[in-house]
Amino acid sequence: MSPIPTLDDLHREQSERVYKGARFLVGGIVVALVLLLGRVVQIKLLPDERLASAAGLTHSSRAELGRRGELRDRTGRMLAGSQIGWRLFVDPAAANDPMTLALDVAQLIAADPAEIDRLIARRPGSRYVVIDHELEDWQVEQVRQANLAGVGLEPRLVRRYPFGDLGAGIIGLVGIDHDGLAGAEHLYDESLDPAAGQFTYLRDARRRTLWVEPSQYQRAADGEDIRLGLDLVIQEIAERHLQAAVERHHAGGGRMVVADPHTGEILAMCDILNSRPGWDEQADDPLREENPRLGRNRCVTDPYEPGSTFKPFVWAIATELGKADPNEVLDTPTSNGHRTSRGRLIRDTHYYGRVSWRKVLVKSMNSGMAIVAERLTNREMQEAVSSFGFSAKTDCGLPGESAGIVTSPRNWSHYSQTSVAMGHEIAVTPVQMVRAFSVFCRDGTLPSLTMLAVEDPDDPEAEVELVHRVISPEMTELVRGALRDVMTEGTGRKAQSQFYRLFGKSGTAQLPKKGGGGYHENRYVSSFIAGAPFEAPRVVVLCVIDDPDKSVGEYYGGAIAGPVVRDVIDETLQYLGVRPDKSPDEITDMSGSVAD
Amino acid sequence: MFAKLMLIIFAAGAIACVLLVNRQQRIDTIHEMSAVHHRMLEHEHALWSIQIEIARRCRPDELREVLQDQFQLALKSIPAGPPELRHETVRLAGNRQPRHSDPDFGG
Repeated sequence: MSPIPTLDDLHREQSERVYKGARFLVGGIVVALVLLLGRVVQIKLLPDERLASAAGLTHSSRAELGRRGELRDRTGRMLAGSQIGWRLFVDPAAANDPMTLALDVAQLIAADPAEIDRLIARRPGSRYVVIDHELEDWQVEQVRQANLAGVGLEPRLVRRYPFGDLGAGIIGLVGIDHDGLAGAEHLYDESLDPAAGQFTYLRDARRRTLWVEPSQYQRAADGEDIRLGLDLVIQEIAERHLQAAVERHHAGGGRMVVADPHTGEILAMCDILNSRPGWDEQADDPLREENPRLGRNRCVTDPYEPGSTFKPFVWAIATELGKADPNEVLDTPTSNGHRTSRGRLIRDTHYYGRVSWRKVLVKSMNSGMAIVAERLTNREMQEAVSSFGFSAKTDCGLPGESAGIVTSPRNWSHYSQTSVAMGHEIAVTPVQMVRAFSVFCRDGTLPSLTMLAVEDPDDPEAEVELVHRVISPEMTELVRGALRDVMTEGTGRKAQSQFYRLFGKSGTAQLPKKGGGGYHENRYVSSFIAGAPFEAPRVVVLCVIDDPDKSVGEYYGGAIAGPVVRDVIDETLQYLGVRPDKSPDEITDMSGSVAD
Repeated sequence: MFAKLMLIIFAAGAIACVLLVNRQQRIDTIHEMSAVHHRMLEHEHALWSIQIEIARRCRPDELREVLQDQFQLALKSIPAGPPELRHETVRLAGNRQPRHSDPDFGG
């Protein structure tokens, strides 16, 4: 018979059993941990094929798009803005069936499958083939819903122009990479350009973001907004009237610049080309035919002969230098023209005999201008030309600006002296002309033209950049008075406004033949430049009608460009809220000859 | 001794579990933050499109069309009305508020 176990024996036996059980448990846990560790090592070092593809790259990087700055007009209207568009690309290697990929995509976006197939075939082996750079909204929706393997959408910036083609030549455009290619888009590209951000993150197998290191996130910086001096309403007024005039006179083209003479802001600028089959030597612009935003802006690139619109500048300098007094009576011919001291015959459209120097300008008399031009030395005449900013670029900022064409001092002859006084043998750009005419609207100083809006024109501290003083304030008023008489007694009678007292000058020059060799006999460049209101001018408007069809009717600047300038000034000043400075009974006879 | 060992193993297990939960919560939070960031960007992009659409619809020709279609009003350029009133109209052009009863505003 076995002895009866004591209580201690029972405790010992129980402890041993528990101890054995615990050893098994601990052993099991250790084995499980070792197996787990082994599995981790296996997954890390020798993963299964299915797992390897998902576990390969754990970090992804994505560019964050910054917005290109907006272009705005002077009142804050958006001229150009960017938004997100979607680019469609395919990865043939990731497609379920590469053979039908083109067909599937074509059905989604309603495109030609052959074209898509050609795009894919052009880049064999590529895993990124762009099918469409900018999808429409419904196409994006279709692609998203279909969720095809190997078909992807990529966000990109696209540029929008809410006002369509209005001011297109000035605003310009951006290319496929959103870089400025033309106009203000190109000019201010550096400021408008955004800085793209970068977003690097740790992701899981389903490409969900797991972790973002703050040091690896770089926020995108939007581009700077630019406010131009352009006013869209004035631009629309200018384009509408110029287009109508070009069509009415079946002209080869037309150019117009509207500027604020005090701030130097270019408020509107338009350049129209009219293709006329059968006409030779027409101004053309192949790039503009491709895209109106790409064409050259002839208001800054193409000089023209100003004709009589140039006379006020010579008249002002000659008077300022004391070469002639406004009331001095000159012996101009009564018929057959005037012979200069070197025997050159100068003809007028109308002959008046003995007239005052002031009337020479009012009636736009070539003979009178030649008489006084001979009193100036060549150097004085050359300085007169350059002091008004001709022969130098305005540096308004638009690309391709021309400095105009002025005969060099070495080649300056007696012929040049008398020709330039009448606005011949010199070529200027419309922006040069507007800047020079602004001198008469100010206190005799030449302003700088700018494409940008002046922050606050009423702020006395917002100084307008000046080039230099050209004539005295008194002379400015004298010239302005004479130019006012041009509107009532001279060649500007058809351009009189019902509301505002304009002062201006017309010009009609013969059209030079391309490549030199003289002028066309019956083809002209007709122009008119004016400012208003008389006492405190707010705008200067220049209209150039290129090569009007003489068979259609009149072709003189005062008759065809003058009314356009008048209409643009009327509407512009009313839009700007400028009170009319003319009463209805002030309207004078608008009939009669407006030659030149 | 055994009890202490067991305690250590279970404590380590518990701590590991808590750490795992904590890590998962952190991942969830970061994921949510990332999703919020993306939503913010999407809203910003939608805002860009809306701004452009507003600009497009505020074009004078668009306004003219809306006034005509919705209110049967004509957007007339100033000055309008009889010639004897024109100068007064122009003088007010800079600061007046158009009203439907205003003959110059159309309707």
